[in-house]
Amino acid sequence: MDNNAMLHGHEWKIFARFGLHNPFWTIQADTVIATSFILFLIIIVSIYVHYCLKNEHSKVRFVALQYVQSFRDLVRQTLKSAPQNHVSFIGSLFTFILLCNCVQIFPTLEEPTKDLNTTLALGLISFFYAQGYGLYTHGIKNYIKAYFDPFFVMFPLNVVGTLTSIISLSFRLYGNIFGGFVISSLYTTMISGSMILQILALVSGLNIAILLIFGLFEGVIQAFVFSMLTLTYLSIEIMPEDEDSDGEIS
Amino acid sequence: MIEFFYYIAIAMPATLSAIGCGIGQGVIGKKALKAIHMQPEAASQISKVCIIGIALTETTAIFGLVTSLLLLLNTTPLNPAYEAVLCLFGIAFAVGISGLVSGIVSSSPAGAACLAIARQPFMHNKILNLMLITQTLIMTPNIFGFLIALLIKNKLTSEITLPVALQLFSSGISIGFGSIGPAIGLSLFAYSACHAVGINKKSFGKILTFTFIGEAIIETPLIFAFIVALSILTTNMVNASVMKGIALLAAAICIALSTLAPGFASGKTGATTCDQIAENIDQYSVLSKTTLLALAMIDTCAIYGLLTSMMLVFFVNI
Repeated sequence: MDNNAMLHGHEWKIFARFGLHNPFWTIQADTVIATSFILFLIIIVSIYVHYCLKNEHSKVRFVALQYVQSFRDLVRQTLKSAPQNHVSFIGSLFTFILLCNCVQIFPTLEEPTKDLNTTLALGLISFFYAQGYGLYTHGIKNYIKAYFDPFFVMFPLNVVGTLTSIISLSFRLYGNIFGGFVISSLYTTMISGSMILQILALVSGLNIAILLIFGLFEGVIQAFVFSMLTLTYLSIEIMPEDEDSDGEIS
Repeated sequence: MIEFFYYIAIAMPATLSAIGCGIGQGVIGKKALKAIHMQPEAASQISKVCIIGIALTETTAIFGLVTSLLLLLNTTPLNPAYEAVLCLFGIAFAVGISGLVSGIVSSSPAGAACLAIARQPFMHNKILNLMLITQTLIMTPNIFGFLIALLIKNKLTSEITLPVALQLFSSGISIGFGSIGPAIGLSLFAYSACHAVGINKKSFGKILTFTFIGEAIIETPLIFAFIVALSILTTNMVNASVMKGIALLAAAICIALSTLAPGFASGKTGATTCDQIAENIDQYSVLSKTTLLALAMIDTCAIYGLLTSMMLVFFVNI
């Protein structure tokens, strides 16, 4: 059965020759290859956009500026104080997750976010970013004191509640992308048996519909939800003590 | 006959989660349409909140589907024997019941947020933040259930003895049925919090502060259920008798029943306080102190349940 290959992917066991057979030392080949591809893609596009920015009338310049401006607006609406520091983090997080979720439009590549290792790493990154800025904003004394609010019995509950955000973020992304991946794999396996089914699926546009719904739409929504939740956790951490609760007039 | 139950157990997570997710998404859509009818100028903001709420609710159905597919595509097919079916029913309850409940109840913050934006269109970003915080907390039972299901699945082997089967089954039902009460309580609280901002926009800062404290306390029974499920899973069952498995089952039923009422009651208490804060912001300190005292008293019942379960797990050696 190739179910095993579908669920676990290709694995590199390069440390096995040194006697390390624990699953901890196994490298998920698909994840590494796809992530490296995405990183190279981002670097190449960034260099290209950097040269296009010098031309005032370039279309690429307009698109790039609009893309950055949308993140500025999003961050400014959510965080009142010092938003410019966080635009690059939120923007790169969104771009990376978006490309990870949608990388299956390139042939032979699989989404790195269907691997729990990637999503857990992303969850840890956003967790430590938010906690680190909370520590930086409030100082170590107020930061620790916040865990003992409203009375000191609440300390374990506060710690567990904070740590739950990692699990919540990473498992949401993992479950959604993995579900979409399994559905599209089952679809491919189903139609691969007969020529007529393949031609029918190609002509009727079912292939494109499956790709659009489970590859692109789900990927964009989940990337947006992930960055929005990171922004929300960040805004909770760096929220000023006495916030004026008047409504904003936008 | 046993094959029938075998496949029923595999199909249960996807079915129950899909039912919950469908009901929840329908309610969100209905509330969003009602809100757009009240305030047509805010249609774009309301539909943004509606789509994010629906996407978050979708997660329950996806978790159920992933669990069912993982069980169906299992590379080492289990013998359809009573023991294996018992383990599969544990997984089905862990994901299915929590998905059903959190799918239905996660509609309430999104629906309340849509109506609140219809009343206060200029507050839409803050209401969206409040909705995201509360709704991700409501999804926590389902994520815990999924986590326990993955752990149970890792323990499945081709030959399972009856005590191990009882152990895995009771781990599943302790998180599955233990998540009902806290999920309903969290949703009652979240509905009132989002509703209160719609009534009185000046109460947003107070409501946000109160939400963190209140939801942490309402979530406590759920964390107890999760702890019990984990400690049942990590119990050493080598050379254990059937009586040990029955003791673990008793521990699971104990925590599942004892989290039901505290979750519901503390959610109701917090919800009432949110309504009161919206009407009298000046009395915030008195209201929050009284409510915290009441919530702490209510959680005592869950702590008794946790103690009993822990004794059943650790001190029964037959």
